[in-house]
Amino acid sequence: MRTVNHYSKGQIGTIEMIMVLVIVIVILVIGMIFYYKFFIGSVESKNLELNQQEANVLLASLSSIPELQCSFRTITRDCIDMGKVITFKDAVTNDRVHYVDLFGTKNIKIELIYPKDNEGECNLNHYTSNEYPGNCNKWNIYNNLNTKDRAILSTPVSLYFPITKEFRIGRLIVETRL
Amino acid sequence: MKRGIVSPVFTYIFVIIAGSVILLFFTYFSYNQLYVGNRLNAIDVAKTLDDNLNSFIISKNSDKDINFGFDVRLLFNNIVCGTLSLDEGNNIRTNKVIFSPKVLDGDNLKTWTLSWKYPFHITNFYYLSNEDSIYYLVYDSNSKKFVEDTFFDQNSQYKIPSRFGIRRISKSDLNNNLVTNLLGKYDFVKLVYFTQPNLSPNDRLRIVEIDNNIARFYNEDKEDIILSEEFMIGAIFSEDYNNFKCGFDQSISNLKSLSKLYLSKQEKLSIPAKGLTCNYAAINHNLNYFITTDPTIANLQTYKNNVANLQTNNNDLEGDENCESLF
Repeated sequence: MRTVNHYSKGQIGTIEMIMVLVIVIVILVIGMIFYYKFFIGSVESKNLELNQQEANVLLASLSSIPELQCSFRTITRDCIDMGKVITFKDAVTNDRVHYVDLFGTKNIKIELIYPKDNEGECNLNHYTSNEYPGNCNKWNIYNNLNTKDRAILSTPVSLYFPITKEFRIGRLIVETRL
Repeated sequence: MKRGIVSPVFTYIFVIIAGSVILLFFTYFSYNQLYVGNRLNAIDVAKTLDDNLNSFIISKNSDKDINFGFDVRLLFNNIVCGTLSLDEGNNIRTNKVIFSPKVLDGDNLKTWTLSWKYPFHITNFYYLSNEDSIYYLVYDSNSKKFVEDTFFDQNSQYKIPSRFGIRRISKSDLNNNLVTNLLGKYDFVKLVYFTQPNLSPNDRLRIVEIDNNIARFYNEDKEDIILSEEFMIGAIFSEDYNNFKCGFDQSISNLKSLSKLYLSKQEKLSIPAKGLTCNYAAINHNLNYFITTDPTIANLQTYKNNVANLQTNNNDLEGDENCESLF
């Protein structure tokens, strides 16, 4: 049996209006999705830019913070006191909130470049050994970055080892989100 | 009306409702975007300012103008101590010790940093101001030389940079007419007396008296101790007692934290197996005093003596073959 739907002119008019409205809304939603996609992208890129800027400033100023900077008879010098570096990790653990405010989401490392005898991360066992500082060459002083996509910034620094009263050349490394 | 024809009235109502919904949506969207844009911009400016101040730490005493290129309304230690923000933005945490008016308007910020040593380098103090703030240092015959030699002499390490436009005035020359005139010209007016004040504070006029290591904040009727000249300058620049107290507490917290670090460094330097048999007992005692004791009016002199002893004990270590000075 054949069924035929008969629509009145009024029904067709209403359906037309609803269709137009639906199409307009669909276009608007698509536009909004694209707009927000670009907007979120620009916010993320601004965030990265600020993060990079912060990392650059941190790298330039890090060797001047009192927690790391050398001083002799209270006169500060342009070098990193490796005696402080050994204890700094404990200070970070004890007052993490303060140092997260200070350094943010980054990793901070120091690497001994010259003269170096052995490679590897320095710990308390290396430190108490008679071969220190020749028995290791890396100090991770702050870790708060888990992502693998990271920008690595570094600058040469002078390292002072009070235990042997000698200066060596090192590299201060700041890793930040990319 | 004929059956099967949509009434024009119904069409108009439908169009008005649909149009209103779409218009409302766009209005909300634009408003929301404006709001988010302003907040992002505020965070951008606040972060950039924080980075600018961070880069200052390299210097032990320097000053500069930071120009934003457009008008901003900066809030320091607003509600929460240790924060800075723009009017439309969230507070961002800053670890800096900042002494300034709570609100600074304009496109230009005057900044000065001074390192605080007690006796080792603890932190940098930041003193901030703008064109709309004025400070008068009020002296009498007894304090005139101190004010001039400390804050205005070219050779003084505490000379306040000329960009701040700090003025000195004799108490006898200070009167209500001058103050009324200043209040008409400036948003923030502060009188810092190095003698007994001869005027009363009000909502717009800030009055502080600095006398014998004590800063009295007359607007709040509170007082606190001054550990060194750096804090004295902090009392000059801070808006009120709370702002000063915020910087003071942050500094003492840093002093304790650095004392712990040096105590720990001393432990690491004492390794008999390596022939390092230095006696750090005296210096340990001095550092422990800082860690366990908060400075008060009652123990201020002992606190200052501890600084002198700490410095002497540290310097004495230098001459010893098996020793290394701590700082």
